Amino acid sequence: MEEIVFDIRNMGVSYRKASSLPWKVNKFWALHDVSFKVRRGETIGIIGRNGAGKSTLLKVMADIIRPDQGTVDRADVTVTLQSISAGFDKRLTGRQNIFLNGILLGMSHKDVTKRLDNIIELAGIGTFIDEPTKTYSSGMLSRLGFAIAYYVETDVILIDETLAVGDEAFKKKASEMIKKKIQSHYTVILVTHSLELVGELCDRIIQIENGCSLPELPLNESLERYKNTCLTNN
Amino acid sequence: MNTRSKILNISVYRALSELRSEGARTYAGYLWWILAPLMSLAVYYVAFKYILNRGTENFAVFLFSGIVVYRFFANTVTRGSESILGGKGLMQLVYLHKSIFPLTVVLVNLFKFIITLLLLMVACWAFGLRPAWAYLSLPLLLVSTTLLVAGAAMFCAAIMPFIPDFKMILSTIVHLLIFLSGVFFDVSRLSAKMQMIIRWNPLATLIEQFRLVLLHGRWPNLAHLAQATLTSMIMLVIGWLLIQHFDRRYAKIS
Repeated sequence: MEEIVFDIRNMGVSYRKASSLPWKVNKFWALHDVSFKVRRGETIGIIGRNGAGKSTLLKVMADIIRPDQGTVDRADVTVTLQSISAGFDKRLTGRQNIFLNGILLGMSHKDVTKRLDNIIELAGIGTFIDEPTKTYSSGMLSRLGFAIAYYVETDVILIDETLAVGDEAFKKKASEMIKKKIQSHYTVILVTHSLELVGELCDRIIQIENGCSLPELPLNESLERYKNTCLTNN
Repeated sequence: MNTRSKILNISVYRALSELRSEGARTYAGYLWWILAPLMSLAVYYVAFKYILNRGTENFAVFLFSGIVVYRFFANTVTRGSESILGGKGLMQLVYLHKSIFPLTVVLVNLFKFIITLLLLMVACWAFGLRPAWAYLSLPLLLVSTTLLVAGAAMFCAAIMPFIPDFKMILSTIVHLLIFLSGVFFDVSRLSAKMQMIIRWNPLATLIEQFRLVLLHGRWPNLAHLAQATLTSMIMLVIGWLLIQHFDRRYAKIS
């Protein structure tokens, strides 16, 4: 029996809608009723149309927000959202930003120093590493962000593929690196619109529809169902 | 869950990065840490000394000591109050204890405050005031002032995301405080009743204590200092508890 990393039961998240008066509370439920379990080492694909609540689900799993109903039981694990670049200070150099971001992601100064060469190599931005990041193109920024997050020691990786940018060559490299992680002992939660990727990489699929998780089906049937829901609704 | 040592660790690192990047933002760079307070001194000095014809003995250092402490407070509270709002992008991507945002601002400004405090000491010597044994109490004053500034910044940062209108009120309060903190006048020359009222303002008390030490070479009044420190601690605890309570709510405010 493998260890259960996440046990999510009837979980829902509501946001307050902007209202004209502070005592008028307008709630909007981004997630209504989501239930599923994740075991250690599994790769889970989360699919669903735009606005289904996938990103909100990732935020709950990363413990960035708390659910407003239901429960989320989490084993004692570290969870990292892959690909971040919001912690960058544009006036600092790439190298300085590696340290800043690494520390924000929970690494110690020593950890970052140890992985510095690897990160710089993966980012592959050459001599720009010692230039202020305001001179970077958006592609370079996301490569650097990806490279830093890639080397964070973590038990669970959450990947929001919709965030991934960069040229084709880097996309290919990034997805190869991710595949390597998926094939090792990591637990991976992958949010994507690419059914190919899901079919190839994931052990199980969770479909989110209007804030609810649909009953789980075997991989192939699950993919079929998703294609059908997309067809019927368009 | 970030532990307290981790919170401090991240805040210190963010503060160092911020200081470094501030130097790269303008042509004069780090020089602004000294120039900005000197310019604000020049404005008030001209206004009070020459236009209003006011001014006590050693008026320049008297004024400067008030301005230096007030600026530490005003800058930190103003910028700190917006810090959690400003960290909205970052907090969507990685869980950080939200006290990190105001604490970073406190540390950045504490560093600048220490530099201007050294400048103030040099100015005092230049005006013929001798260093005194009472200088040994300066670290105590520094801790007390930092507690006040951190308390006010945390409290304001905690409520600002929920009440955006507070920004307008806060700027008025901060503006008002320059008049209620004895930056331009000596609190001990006011009527006894007025003194009692003004001493409820910890900023006024702290400015007075800094002047006792630096301008008169006397030890701070411990009773007044204790009262100010207690008020600051209460604010700090309330601010901390608010941030702790709403820690995972801030990321949901849009």
